[in-house]
Amino acid sequence: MKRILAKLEIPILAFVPLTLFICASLQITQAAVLSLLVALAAIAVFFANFELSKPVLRQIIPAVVLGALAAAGRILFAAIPDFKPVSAICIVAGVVFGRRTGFIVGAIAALVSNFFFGHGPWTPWQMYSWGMVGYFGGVLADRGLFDKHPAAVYVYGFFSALLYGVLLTTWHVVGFIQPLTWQSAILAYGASLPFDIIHAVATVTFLLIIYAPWSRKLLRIKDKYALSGSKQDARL
Amino acid sequence: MSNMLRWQGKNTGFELIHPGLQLTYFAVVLVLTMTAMQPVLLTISFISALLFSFCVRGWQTTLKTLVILLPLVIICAVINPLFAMMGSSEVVRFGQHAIYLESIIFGLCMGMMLASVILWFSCASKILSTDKVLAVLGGVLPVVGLMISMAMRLVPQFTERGKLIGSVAESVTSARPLTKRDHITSRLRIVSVLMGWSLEESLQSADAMKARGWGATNKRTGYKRYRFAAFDLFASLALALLVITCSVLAFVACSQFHFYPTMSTLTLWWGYIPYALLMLLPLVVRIVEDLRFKWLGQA
Amino acid sequence: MTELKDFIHSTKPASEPALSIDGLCFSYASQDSNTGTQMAGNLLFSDASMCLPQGSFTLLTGNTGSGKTTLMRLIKPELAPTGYRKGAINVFGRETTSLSVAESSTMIGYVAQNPETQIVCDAVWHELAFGLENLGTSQEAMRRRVAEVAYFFGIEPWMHSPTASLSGGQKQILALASILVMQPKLLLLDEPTAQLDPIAEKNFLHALFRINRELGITVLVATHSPETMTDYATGALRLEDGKIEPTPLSAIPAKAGIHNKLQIPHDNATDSTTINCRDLFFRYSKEEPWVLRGFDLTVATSSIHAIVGGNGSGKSTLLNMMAKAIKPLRGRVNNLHSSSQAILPQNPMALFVGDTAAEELKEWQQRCDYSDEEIVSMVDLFNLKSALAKHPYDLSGGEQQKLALAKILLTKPKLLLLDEPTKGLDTSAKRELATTLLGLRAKGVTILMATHDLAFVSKVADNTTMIFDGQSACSEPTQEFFSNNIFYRLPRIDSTTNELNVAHEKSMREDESKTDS
Repeated sequence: MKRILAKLEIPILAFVPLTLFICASLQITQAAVLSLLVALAAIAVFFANFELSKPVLRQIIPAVVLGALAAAGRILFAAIPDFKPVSAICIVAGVVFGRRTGFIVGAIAALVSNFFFGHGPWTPWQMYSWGMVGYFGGVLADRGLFDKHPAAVYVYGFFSALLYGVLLTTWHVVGFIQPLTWQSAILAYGASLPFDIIHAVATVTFLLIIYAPWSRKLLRIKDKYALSGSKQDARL
Repeated sequence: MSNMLRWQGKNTGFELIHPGLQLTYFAVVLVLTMTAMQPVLLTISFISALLFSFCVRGWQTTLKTLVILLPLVIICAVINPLFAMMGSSEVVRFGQHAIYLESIIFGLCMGMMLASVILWFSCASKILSTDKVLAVLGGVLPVVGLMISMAMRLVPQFTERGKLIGSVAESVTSARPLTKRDHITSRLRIVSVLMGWSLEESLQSADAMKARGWGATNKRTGYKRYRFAAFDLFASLALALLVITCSVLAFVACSQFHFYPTMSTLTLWWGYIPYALLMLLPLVVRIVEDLRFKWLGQA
Repeated sequence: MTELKDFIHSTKPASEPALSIDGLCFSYASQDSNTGTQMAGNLLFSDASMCLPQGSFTLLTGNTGSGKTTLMRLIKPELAPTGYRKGAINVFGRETTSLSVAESSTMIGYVAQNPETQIVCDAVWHELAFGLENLGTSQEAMRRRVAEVAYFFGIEPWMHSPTASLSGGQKQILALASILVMQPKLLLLDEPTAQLDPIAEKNFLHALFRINRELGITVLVATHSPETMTDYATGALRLEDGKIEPTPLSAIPAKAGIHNKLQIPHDNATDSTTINCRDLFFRYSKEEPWVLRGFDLTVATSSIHAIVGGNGSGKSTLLNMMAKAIKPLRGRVNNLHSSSQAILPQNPMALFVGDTAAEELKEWQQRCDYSDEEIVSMVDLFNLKSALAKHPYDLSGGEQQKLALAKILLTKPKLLLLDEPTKGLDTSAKRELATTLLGLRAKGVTILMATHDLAFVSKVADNTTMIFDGQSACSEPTQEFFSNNIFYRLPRIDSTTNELNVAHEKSMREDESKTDS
């Protein structure tokens, strides 16, 4: 069970955008529900995997605190639409604590903040999309990209926010516009582009301010949790 | 105050059944609403959601939501025919572009579906208070449930603190933000201070957890405030039966119906009755509850 | 008092001590910066020994930095710091290091200082069950123990509240209750009341007293304000120079805090006022009750003005309003120095952003244009030299506050607003703070502080205003304030009241034994 779930992690995460693509190309009428269920399944598999890995306190607590911080940040910045620190915090979490924590921080932030903003069918999609923002942050950091090119993190920040926007818009387009035509899709992407750009700029701004000091502070906390040993161990 | 309400949910007849079942009910209703793209079924769902919302959220709040939802429906009705040039009954024609009645109706239905989904969600969040959701989740994934519970506790604390940090910076004159740029950096500073503070305190929380036997056993149990009684079993069987019937009926109704190129004619059909019963179920339970207490009061 | 203690001891024949420490030596490991090898630092304890009889209520006193917290944590195996350690710590005859996690949590309960950080879950019922869930307790046992403890502490009215909505006092009671569900036999408390207001402190101590006397649980409390607990305690220990010495309870001074007469005679010759406001009305939102409704305040220039009142009476709101961070809904605030003011928040953490104390002091250097020399003299004034290289969060509560004060004083404010400045401070830190404030006043700084520490107010404030029900209940010179107040004043702890307390306790016990039979 444990092994199967662990192997499923990457395929199921990749299957979510794939579903959107299949639904779009086959013009499936029930795309909204179908893709929603797939996204929910992906999140469920991810969390079940985390649960079965018997996480210890030093994995649980930073994820919870960062997730809650991102949610609180979203609430504190609610006055400025789409200017939110969530993506930036997910990226920092992914880079410092690894891809899994990155995903969990994003998912928790979306879920918990929606208890304050209002839940809707968008909740699983936000959980998935922000989760992926943190997940890729962790994957790229694991590959050593950000060590080699420190500026890459800001570039990633910009594109990750766009990725978030594209995922949500695609779900909306595929799920709720029927029959799907090129014109309507382009209109929908065009309408969401300005907001995505604000989000991307906000993410880069936040990263510029928090990335270096937070990484330092988080590493300090990691030390305090007696997180020593090889880098590989620390990330798992 | 609003926080307390969000927390405790409102008393409706729903408390009589297990939260897992409450959750299932809303999930089923949402899935049916989103899948059954058929004008009558959608109207049933929309009206039920609206009535239930009047009942549990109050007419003022519901009207406020409607003010937002109606434009949404209209926008869907307008935008769809602009792009989906399909149908047979032409309404107007601008040169090459024709607007068809069928596609306006499809847009209206799509808008109504979105509106019903949003209404159902807001009703569900009144009934399914956070601790009910967490109780259900904690039964399946204890650690994840606990993590979300912890995050739920931290968010209000962090927002309070964020405001405090902001007001402290405002009150130290020489550090008070003056320009617009200052205002932005001051807001960003809030997040930084908050993060350092919170993570530092999280170390103490970790100690508190260790001091209370965290990791003492591999089999962590979950305190069950709600138990799954015989009545719940009966209720779930009844609900399952109703849901299966409704799904079959909805499938039949949808497959016999098509928007394009010519919309099928809608007729009276007995199959709508079970569907309406499922959608109106919470309202019926609520009314029965009200009447019961009314009679009790008189007796 | 002694009779009562004898009575308790005689009813519980101590077969083996609840806690015994033999020849404990401990030092934190310090890393050699050159070689990177671990080596032993200075010995914090050297050959320290102690013994607690079962059912006792013992106070552990000692100066800041004497190692009270370290000792407490060494007893609780999960929290024991790493380092060089020698000697034995036995709890009910068992070596603590040999205890499993489950055994340890059912034998030794640990309550820390800050109620905010000890609460884990978002619902009160979940918080109570948390420890039992960890132990894998069965549903039936869990339900019963939670119910019992909830009744014992009177928690059931707020069982379903979110923990975030509780007051500090309720949170600390909850922290205690959620330890007790695991039925520990020895309870360790590290400064449990330092963050509480006087009324919440009384409530908490009373709960602790009942746990000790009614349930027979052995209690060890580390505290820097033992005087509030002497009525409940059966014995006291003092940590000094790495040794633990028993000290008689009578040796603990009865009255809190600052004995030295600090009141430097101050001629309020200046008639000018710094803050003047009339008829302030305020509430946070339409649904919420009024925080202020018709509040008046006049603060004389270069004086220390205290605002006293209970929790949630609007003291912090008022300070923010005086600082013009929030606007009243009606009325006007005239603040002469609003262009040169600073606030010291209740928790200095709200001010810290840097990685070291030195960085902290430099945060506003460019904006406020102060020189490096000024920083140095400020560091000297507050004796912060050793703290400069440390992370602000690694400092003690007293040092953190001094750092925060230094940081805001560098901006050279003419008006200083203080929110609960004595919270969590020990006696000597309070004394230092008082001296600093009086020094600032002498330099012409106006100080407005909100606090519920009446002892501190009586020592430093020139004028005192009591806020009640959104209005100023009275506002007068501090001396008059205390001589005119009958109920809201300093506790008179002297021999007569002590005897009264004992008599009261005795009669309560007799009543209980009557009802039992």
